[in-house]
Formats: sequence, C-alpha cells, structure tokens
Amino acid sequence: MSSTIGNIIVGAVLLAVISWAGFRSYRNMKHNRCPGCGACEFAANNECPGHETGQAG
Amino acid sequence: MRIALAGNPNCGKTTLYNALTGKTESAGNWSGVTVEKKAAKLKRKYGAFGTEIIIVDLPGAYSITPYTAEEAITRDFILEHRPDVIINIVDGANLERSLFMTTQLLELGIPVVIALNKSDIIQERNDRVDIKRLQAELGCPIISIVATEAQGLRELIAAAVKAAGKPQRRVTPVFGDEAVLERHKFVEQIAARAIVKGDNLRRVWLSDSIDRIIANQWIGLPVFFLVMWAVYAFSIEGLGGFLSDYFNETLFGEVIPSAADNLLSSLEIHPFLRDLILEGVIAGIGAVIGFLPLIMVLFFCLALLEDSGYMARVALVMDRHFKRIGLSGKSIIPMIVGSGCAIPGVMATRTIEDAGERRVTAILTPYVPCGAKLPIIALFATVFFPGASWVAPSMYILAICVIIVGGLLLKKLFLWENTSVFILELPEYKRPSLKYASSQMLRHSKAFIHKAATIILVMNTLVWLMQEYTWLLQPAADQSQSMLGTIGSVLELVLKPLGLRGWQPGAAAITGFVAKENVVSSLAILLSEGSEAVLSTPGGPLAGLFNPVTAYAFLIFNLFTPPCFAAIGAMRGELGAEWLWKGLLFQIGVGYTLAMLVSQIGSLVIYQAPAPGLPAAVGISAALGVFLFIKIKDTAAKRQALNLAAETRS
Repeated sequence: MSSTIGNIIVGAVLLAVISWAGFRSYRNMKHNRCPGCGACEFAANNECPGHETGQAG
Repeated sequence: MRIALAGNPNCGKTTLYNALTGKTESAGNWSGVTVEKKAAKLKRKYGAFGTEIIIVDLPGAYSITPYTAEEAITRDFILEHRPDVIINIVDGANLERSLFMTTQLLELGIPVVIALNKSDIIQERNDRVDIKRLQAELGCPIISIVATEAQGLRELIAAAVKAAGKPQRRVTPVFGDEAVLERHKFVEQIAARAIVKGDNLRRVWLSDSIDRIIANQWIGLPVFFLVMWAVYAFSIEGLGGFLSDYFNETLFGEVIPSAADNLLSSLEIHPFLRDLILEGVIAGIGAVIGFLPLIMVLFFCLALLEDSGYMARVALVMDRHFKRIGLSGKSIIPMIVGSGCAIPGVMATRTIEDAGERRVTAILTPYVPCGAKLPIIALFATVFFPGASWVAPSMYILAICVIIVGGLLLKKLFLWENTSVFILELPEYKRPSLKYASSQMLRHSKAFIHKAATIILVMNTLVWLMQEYTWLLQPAADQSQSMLGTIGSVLELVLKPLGLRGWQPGAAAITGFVAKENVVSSLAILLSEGSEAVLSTPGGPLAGLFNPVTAYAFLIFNLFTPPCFAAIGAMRGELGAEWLWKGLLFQIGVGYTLAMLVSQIGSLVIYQAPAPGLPAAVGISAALGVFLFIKIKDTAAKRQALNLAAETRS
C-alpha cells in the first residue's frame, strides 16, 4: 500500500515538474528567447527585444 | 512618473538602469550593447516619494539628430512620449563629447537632470569638474555619481523628482539641428571652463604604452590569444576544472545518485520511475550542472577583462582585420555579445546599417562558442585531452578563422559591397570591479541553472524514454532498436564521413539543436547503461565511441553547425526566411566540412590510417569544391554585369 502511494506521489511530482519545465520552455521559445533561459536578460517582464519589435512571438 | 535615461554610448546608462531598477540587463564596457529601449519600476529604496516611478533605458546616442537606428529610437521616444524628466548621463571622462547631446536635450523643454558619471575615473586622473560652474552654464541640476558602485543614486532620483513638472530653464543658446559647428564650439568652451585639469601625464603615458602593445594591429592578436589561453586554462584546467571535477565525480557521480537511489528504494518506487529519475533526470542534469563551477569562473574572468577596458581594445584589433574581409567594424560587438549567448548576439546585428554586412554578421555570429557550448568543450577536453589547456582556446581561434574565411567566402558567394563607417570608442583602463564581475557571473549561472531545470530536464526525459522504448512503445531489448536508436542509425550514415562510429553521437548531436548542453546530457543518458563510470572520466564510456581525433572533430561539428533553435529563431528575425535558409545551409556546410577534414586529415597524420568513411569524405569534398567553383564564378559574372550596367548609366 505504502509503495502505491509512494509511486503516485513521486510520479505526480515528476509529471508536474516536467510539465512546468515543458511549459516554460515552450513559452520562452515562442517568444524567441533562449529556450529555458528564463533568467536571461530578455526574459524578465517580457523585455525580449525580438518581442518588442514584433519580430518574435 | 517616467524618467528616461539618455546619453552617449558607453556612458553607463544600462549600469545605472540596472542599479536603479534591480534588473540585470546586459551591460558592457563598449558602445552599442543596448539596441532597444527598456523600462522597469524604480527600486523601492530610491523611490520613497509616494509616486510610482518608471525608469526607461534608451539606446546610446551622440545626438538626437539620428544617424543610426538606435539614435532614432532614442529621439522618437523623447519627442513622441515626452518623459517627465530626462536623466542625461554624462561621461565625466569624456565631458566635451557628452555635452553635445546635453545642449540638444536642454532645447526640448523637458526637465533635464545631469548625472555626472564615472567621477571615480575623473579623480583617478587628478582632474576635477567644477559642478557649480557647469550647473550655472547649463541651467540644470548636476549630480555626481558612480553607477558601477551605486554612488549618488538617491540624490539623483531626488533631484529628478524635484525637477519633474517644472519647465526646463533655458540659459544656453538655441542652435537648431543645422548649426553643428557652432554647437561644438559652444560645448568645447563650456567643457574647457568646467574641467580643472590635474597632473595626469604619467597615467596617459602608461595607458598609451599599454595600448601600443595590446591594441597593436599585429601584436594585439597574439596577445589576445595568450590572454584567452590563460583565462581558459584557469577556468577549465585550474580552479573551474577542479571544482567541476568535484561536482561531476563526487556530487553528481556518487552523493546525489546514491542518496536518490536509497530514498527511492526505501519508498519501493517502481523500476520505471526509479530508472527515469536516476538515469534520465539526475544523470542528464548532473552531467550539465557539473560544469557550473567552470562556467562561473570563466564568466567572472571575462567580466573582469571587459570591465578593465581590455575587450574594447580587442574589438579595435579585430575591427582592422574585419575591414579587410569587407565586414563592418560593428560586426565585432554582436560577436563579443554572442560569446555569452548567440541570441542577443544575433539581435545586436541590427545596429549595422548596411543590409549585406548585417546578414553576413548574423550568419557568422553563432560561430563564436556561446556559454551553452562550453560544457561540450569541457567534457571532450577532460576526457580526451586531460591536462591539455589548448583545447578550449583552440575552439575560439578556430572560430575567428572560420569567421574570417567564412566572411570572405560569403562575399564571393553572394553579391554585396560597401563597408560602413564605425567609430569605436576606447574606454579608459580602470581597475575592474569585483562587484560587476560577480553580478555577471551570477547572471550567467542563474541562466545556466534555469536552462538545466527547464529545457534540459524536458529533453532528458524525452531522450531517456526514446532510448528505452521502440516506436511500438514496447521496451527495447537493445538500445539500438529504440526510437532514438533508429533515428541515430540514420544519422550515423550522415556522420560516417566524419569518422564517427555508433548511433549515439548523431542522436546526441540532434538533441543539441534544442539546447547545446543537451549533447552532454544525452551522451550521459545514452552511455550510462552498462557503465558505472562517470561520463567525464578519461577512458570512460566516451572512449568506446571516439578517439582523440574523432572527438575533436565531433566537437567541431557541434560547435560550427547551426546553433540552437532559439538562436535560429533570432536569425529568422534579423535575416528573413530566404537568407535564413542560405545562412543555415552555409553553417551546416562549414561545420560538416571542417569536422570531416579534421577527422580524416588528423587520422592520416596522427594514426597513419584514415578514419572510417574516407571514400565518402573524398566524394563530398570534390562535390563541394565543384559547387563552390561554379557558384563563385556565377556571382563574379553577375557582379561584372552589374558594374558594367552602372558604368553605362553614368
């Protein structure tokens, strides 16, 4: 029983983390930013130059 | 309330913007780093005045009569959006030049507050600026600041808030856009009266003497290579390598995997989940994060070099060589920016006015090894060339050679003429700020970790699943029958002329197009089965796939073929669809051919035996030679016809 609950919890956490990572990567790529690099100089507050000039996103 | 930051290139606008807002925008000790306006809220500690204050960072401009695209952005924002106050950042070390724009701003009627930046450099020179006199001559408040040290910012904001809403008092004559010479003369007189010169002959002599060596047309380049060799030796073989070894071998090799294994075993987790976490997520991310200390040390050293004023001298040296191959001197800035990340590098090409030069620079910029490619370099250097400090610098030297030869080749392949004028500013030498270097190091580290936690995590999961299962979603009895195995087998044929064996190199290289670090993490996942050794161990799992020559060729293939998809997206933005395809084909051609030549010639020279795939390599080389010959001849004929038509018209 404990193993089933453990599997569900670990599986759910892993799925949530990977989904979040996938969503972040997709969103960044859509805005022509470095795919995972949300911390890069363009990511904060949608300040990506490509986005501002209408060349991205 | 909106406060705009305006001033000459490299006067410290972005540094001031970052200090005022807490942002970490890319700032550099050379002109042209900011190519777009950026806006953010003022930090609470500077803005306790009851109103929300937005700070707008504008691209550098020498005048508001625009010559370049960035100057036009600055002018349009000031005239159309009319900020409540303009903080005009004046470079105290170049007062006369900075005040030209100041006099133009004072004519607009918008309140102006002058931030006299780099007052530390003025002091070091033994000079003094008579602020009271300058205030009286210009009719606006002047606050002395040191943006890099966040000195004087509270007073600056207080003065800006006080000036807002009040019309700008006019004490200077109105010149208009046409009277450039009169304005220059006026500014010259004001600056001469405001600067109290000290004795700084020794300092000037010293600076000139250093410049004679490191900015010399011929000595400058070897000195640059020597400096870069020292930086990379320290980063990869020295402190950075030492810390990375600990991360790779102990932390991600033993401590974390065994702790995770114990935890998952105690929870009786299903083998599928257990393997996915241990072999997919931890092995993959660990292989990349293991190189974090190395990246931190490297970016710290590069930031110190940049802040000292050295990198601007490198730009000057490269500028002379670039002009010879018909590239703009401005091309060097995107390339230096691109050494951090290719995306801002490619975007920085928009400062180049000539379309042909801009295209060529956007195509060549991704050749500069970016931060994401460093783990690949470090991995192959550690495994196949332990103790050798030349591998990483050789990639940069190769990049410079590829850029120069590539520039010449693109010029021959496609029609384009013209070289635009580029004024490169040389900042004064100064003691590099440890605070600045640390902030740059943290910025890059944060980006690196963020990337590992997002796209690399996703790709690791995908790679693990694809190497465990067949296309029918059945567990693969043999890795080579898995989804990734079949894709890799097709790529194995393509990569055979490069002397590469096995399907794993192709599969790893293809994941690198999503993010270059994936090459390392994918190899870690693909080779973890059947090997307990850590990927970065000399003679470890990688040695079964490569020898030192093919490893070096694989490194070249990954570094000199097209960059990641996000950078390709940036290229599309700057080049348009047609030129993007031309650029990508060029990059694939260059990367592939270079890797093939290194592998085949290297194997013949070092092992006295060709690498696998020699006949195919000879065939490809011959076909490429014929194609280049025909294309260059065709372009030359077109160029001649165009010249003839132009002569007839005139």
